[in-house]
Amino acid sequence: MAKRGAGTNSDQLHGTLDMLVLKTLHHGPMHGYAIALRLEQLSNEVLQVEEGSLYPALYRMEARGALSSEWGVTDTGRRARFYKLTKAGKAQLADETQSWARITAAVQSVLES
Amino acid sequence: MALLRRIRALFRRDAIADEIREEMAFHLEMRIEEWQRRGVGRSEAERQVHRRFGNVATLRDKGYDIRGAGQALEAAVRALPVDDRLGPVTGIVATPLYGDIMESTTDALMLVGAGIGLLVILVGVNVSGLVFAEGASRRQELAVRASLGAGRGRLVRQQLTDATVLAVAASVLGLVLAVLSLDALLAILPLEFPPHVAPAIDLRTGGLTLLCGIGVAWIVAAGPAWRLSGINLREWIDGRIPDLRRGWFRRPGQIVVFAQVALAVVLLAGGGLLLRSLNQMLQVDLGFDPEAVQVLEVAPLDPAPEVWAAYYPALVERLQAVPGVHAVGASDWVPMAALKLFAATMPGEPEPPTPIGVTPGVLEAVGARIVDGRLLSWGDARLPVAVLSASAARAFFGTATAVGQTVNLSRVPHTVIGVVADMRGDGPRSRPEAAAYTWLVPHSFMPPSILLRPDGAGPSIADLRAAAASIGPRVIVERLRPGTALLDDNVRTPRQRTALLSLLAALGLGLALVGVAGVSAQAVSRRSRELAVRVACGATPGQVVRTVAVGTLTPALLGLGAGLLAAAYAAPLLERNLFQVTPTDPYTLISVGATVVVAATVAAWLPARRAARIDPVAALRE
Repeated sequence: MAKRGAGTNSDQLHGTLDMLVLKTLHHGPMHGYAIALRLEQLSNEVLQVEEGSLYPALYRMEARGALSSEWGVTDTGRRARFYKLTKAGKAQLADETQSWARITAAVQSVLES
Repeated sequence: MALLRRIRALFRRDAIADEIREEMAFHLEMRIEEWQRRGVGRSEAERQVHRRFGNVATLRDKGYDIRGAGQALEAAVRALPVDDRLGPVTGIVATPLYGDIMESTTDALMLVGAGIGLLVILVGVNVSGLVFAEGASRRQELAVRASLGAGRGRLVRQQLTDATVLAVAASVLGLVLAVLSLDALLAILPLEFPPHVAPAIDLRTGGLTLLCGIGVAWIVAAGPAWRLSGINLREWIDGRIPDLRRGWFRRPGQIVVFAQVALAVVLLAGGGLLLRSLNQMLQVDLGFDPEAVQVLEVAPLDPAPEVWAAYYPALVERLQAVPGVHAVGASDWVPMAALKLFAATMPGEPEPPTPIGVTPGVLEAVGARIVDGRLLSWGDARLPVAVLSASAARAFFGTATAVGQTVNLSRVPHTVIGVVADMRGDGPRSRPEAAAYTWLVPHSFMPPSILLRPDGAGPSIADLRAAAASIGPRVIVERLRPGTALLDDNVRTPRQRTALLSLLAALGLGLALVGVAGVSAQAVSRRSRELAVRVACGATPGQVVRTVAVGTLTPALLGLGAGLLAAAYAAPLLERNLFQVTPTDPYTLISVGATVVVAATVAAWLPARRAARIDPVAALRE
């Protein structure tokens, strides 16, 4: 029999990572390594993205149509798979950013009370 | 587009696996260079990166496959001290990345694709038969055209133009029907669509459908058209009508019936197997009553363990007094809302009971059946007592009475006060698992859920909110979810697959019956002279009807046999979607056979009745 908590927790993590990845790709196509690096840099090294979470998230989002990918060449001449946002992905990012803002505002107001 | 990509993925499985490998290799290389830029030597950088990446390469070098890697990982985790909050790890299953992401959609796509593909072939066979029948009756006209100078290419073009006009008209009609029934169709499609892409029939889909329609029509009409347009004018003028009925075209009607029935049988067998599976799934005794339970999420904003430990018992007490609540309790487990990681075990290995924290009222709320002893009560507050599931009791004590005995749970001795029937907490597909229900100690990392069993119309959410807020700490109250919603989540996909394949099978059977009836009717017209002679020679109407019906039924029965063989051959592909039903389930195959025999007999007999009304004098004079 399973613990409910673990399921919910992991769903929440999936959702947050998806949103962060979508946000990172908002500025243009990137390969997986660059996404991980950018997330780490933007969060001042607070967010360490595990490859084991990042790539399943990328494949899942691609399968759901939020991202598309194609093989290209990096600045250093290496072959890499570049991901970019689709129209559906942009809409999802807008939605998730909005609901994230709502939640953080609500939590903030509770903390400040 | 996402759907097209998935369909493409079906045929590029190996290529996709290679791409994933290449992508990972690129990622690792970049990480290694990152370490090197920090001044670490190449070999040390490689070691560090591979270690952080899960040491997959090392496991592979040691000869582990994906399953072995899961077992090695499990052994390593088991060697760690047990975390009392989580309980012992019951198993770890390693799955390939590709399988994890693609398997479920791949399965569904295979099913949808195979079903629709068979149906399209069936339609093609039907149309091909019709084109041939129609063309045969126009041979006189074709001969006249040929005599006026029309070449074979021109005659073929003319027939293909006819087929195109028909295909366009039929596709447009089909598209209109599809637009009207899109919502119903999507409800039974076992595919997950991206949340922001509402599937719609747009210009692209419409254009593709039209092209497919015309393409199928050309493919099936080309053969008969070529055959029929092969007119030798000299033979016509001499009155020697060439016999078209040679080779494959000797008995076009019979071939059409044979192929249609065979294809319909394959579809029917698939639909029948899924239907039986779904029925079996709904018959499974879950050990609890999902219809009667509701789930409410309540969490104090203050995460301090002492706040939670005091809050939940008080909450349960308050909720008991809310009108419309029959039984209520707090639990760190919700049936049907499970995560695989904690539920999985290695096959054949005895399973330690999963400790589940509950307050009194939870087992009553989910409708657990008492086998022996009693359930938790408030009098047991914080005492080391446990209620075991039947299989846990069996594992500990065999056939001896468990109540009153002592078991060690998370290294603490607990007195068994009761035994309840096993519950399949992860839905009908899961095994009944060994569980031990002990007093709830709320974890600080995840709030417990409130399980309640309503009485009559049930409690109002406003009353529940008021009760949750009246205790003291500020709380968040989430939505109230019925247990049936959780059950639906669990059986929705099988239900959708079954509905879709049953619909395709019904369409297939309908088409095949139309084909059988058409061939039977055609036989009556074609053989009217022969039948008239039979009647003139004293054959009874019954005998004449039988002659026609048997002529049609023979290829239908041969088609049934071929279809059953093909179904038995193809059914193992369905195995993953089946539940307690074997792919060659005799009950299903016999039912399909009986249905087809009865339906085909009726379809052949109805038009054949016309043969009984043949007037021999009139027929022979024609």
